[in-house]
Amino acid sequence: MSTWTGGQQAQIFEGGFRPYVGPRLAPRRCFRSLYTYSLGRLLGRKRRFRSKLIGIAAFFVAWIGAVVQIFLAGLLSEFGDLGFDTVRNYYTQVGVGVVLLTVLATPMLLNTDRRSGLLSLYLASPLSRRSYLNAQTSAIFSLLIVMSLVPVLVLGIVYTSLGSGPGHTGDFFMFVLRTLTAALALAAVPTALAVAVCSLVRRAGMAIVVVALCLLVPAGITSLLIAEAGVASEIAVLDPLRLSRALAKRAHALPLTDDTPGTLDAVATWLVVLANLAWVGLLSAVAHLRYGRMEVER
Amino acid sequence: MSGTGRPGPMLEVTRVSKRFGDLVAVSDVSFRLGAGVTALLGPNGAGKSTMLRMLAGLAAPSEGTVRVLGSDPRADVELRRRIGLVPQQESLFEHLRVREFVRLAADLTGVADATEATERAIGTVGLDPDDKRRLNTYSKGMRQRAKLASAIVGTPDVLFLDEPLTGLDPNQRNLMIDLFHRIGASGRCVLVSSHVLDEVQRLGTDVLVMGKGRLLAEGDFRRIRDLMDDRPSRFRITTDEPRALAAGLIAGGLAVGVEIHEPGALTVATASAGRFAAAIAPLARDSRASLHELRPLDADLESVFRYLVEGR
Repeated sequence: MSTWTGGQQAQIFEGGFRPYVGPRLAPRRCFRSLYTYSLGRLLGRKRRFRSKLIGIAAFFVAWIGAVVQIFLAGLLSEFGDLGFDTVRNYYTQVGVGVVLLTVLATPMLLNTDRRSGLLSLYLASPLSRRSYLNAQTSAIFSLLIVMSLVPVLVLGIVYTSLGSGPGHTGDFFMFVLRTLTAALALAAVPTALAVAVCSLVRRAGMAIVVVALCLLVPAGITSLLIAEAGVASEIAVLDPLRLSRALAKRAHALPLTDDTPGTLDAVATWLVVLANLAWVGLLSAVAHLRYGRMEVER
Repeated sequence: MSGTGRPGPMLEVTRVSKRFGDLVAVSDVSFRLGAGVTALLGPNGAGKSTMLRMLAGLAAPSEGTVRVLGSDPRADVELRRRIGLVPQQESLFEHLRVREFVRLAADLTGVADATEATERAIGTVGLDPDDKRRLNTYSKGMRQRAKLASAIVGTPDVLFLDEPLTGLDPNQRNLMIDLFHRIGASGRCVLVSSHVLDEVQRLGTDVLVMGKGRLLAEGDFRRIRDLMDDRPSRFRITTDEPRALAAGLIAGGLAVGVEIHEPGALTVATASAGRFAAAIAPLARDSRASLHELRPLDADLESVFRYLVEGR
């Protein structure tokens, strides 16, 4: 639509090819752009409502317990008497949220890029395969950290304000540090696992199934082996979800008294830490190796 | 086909092969290109898209080397901001609006003033930057133009376009071809793949012809035609003295075959187009024949393509 200028001015709207001659930013800006864009995709930003459902459901499951607890805190004066361990144990629901987001969102991000041909556009830009994978992994990882961190942190603040949390500022900062470590622990292995599976499996639907199986099935198998076959409890480090949860528990220095088969309370802390690092290292190596050799077919 | 605006070739492909298991997609291909528009011509399955993917750094050659602006596009990340790619597939960012799509490409190529560059690129391809519709509601031609805008937003020095004219109406096609020429004329290298002869013919005269993974010919297609000396060139002549002219052509050894199909028109097959072109006017004068029309019948790209790709 043109604007009437009363014959006083003239304008050319189609000027042909005009090259951009302005400054260029460093390639790391490219990494940041993809990271930001992928975060938006994971949350369904600028997409239809159904694309937002995964993020909404995962965060709802992870956070609703904390929201209810905070709501109750306003109603019940004896709320603080529940004990601060309630806060430090607030990881069951977070775990469900982590599984939901990892299983459903990671394949939608990585496998869709390959199927739709977006990967070719990304890799034709100043992104190496490594930086592409790192940007995508960082987006998933940081979202899981936020999911794990926020409810526990908010609950901690509420408990502290009610006089049931850490008594000193130093203790509170230690709690924040422990919560952050726990969030990192909860997010690391599931992220690495999902990314590795998505690098190996072509279709998003299949990747969803495989990631879910890899996260959920080992719990049953390891429990069965320990309980029925008398295998050493250290074998539970092969269960990625319990392993990450065990590290989170240790980060909060919670008592290790659960002797249910398959739990890692009986396993030495150094082994839990080492197993977490080994999982992350191994799975990251698989993903990087796979992406390094991947043929961009579209 | 070396560049005019820059010293040395902008693209250098040396003995490149690409295999997918047992399938040889590209076999021992070498060429060098400079600035300007070059068409990469070949039937479906000829290896054009694989070649473009290797040039853009998306796939590694199984053998041989690919150099773009002197560097390996797969290893040199910095180089890739100087490369623009329009891929063939269309299921790209379908939920985005054109401004968001091109803006993302601008951000990825590190353009500092991404807003301005985005509007400029979208305007260049004739789309509206403020269009609120999502890309999945666009026509095929509009999507092609959106992809082109995303490829040129960073003003690349080298532009690879995989079947970019598919789905465009004739008017849009002419505008796009004109745009390619303007980009090429600004000292950039533009490589456009297509299997449509009519499109390629309008893209210019410089072609790379691929078939079954091999590079069959390169250069100006008219010169390629001249090199096809095992196949007679055919000309159509209209004259007031067809029989006299035909007799003169045969007697002078200028024609290997003459066919008179209608009053005043004959088709001449000659083994040497250059000798024929030089001799036809004196011969007409000597035969007292007036030449009304002299037209090559198979000096076009289609003839070259048929010969090289289809062997006929």
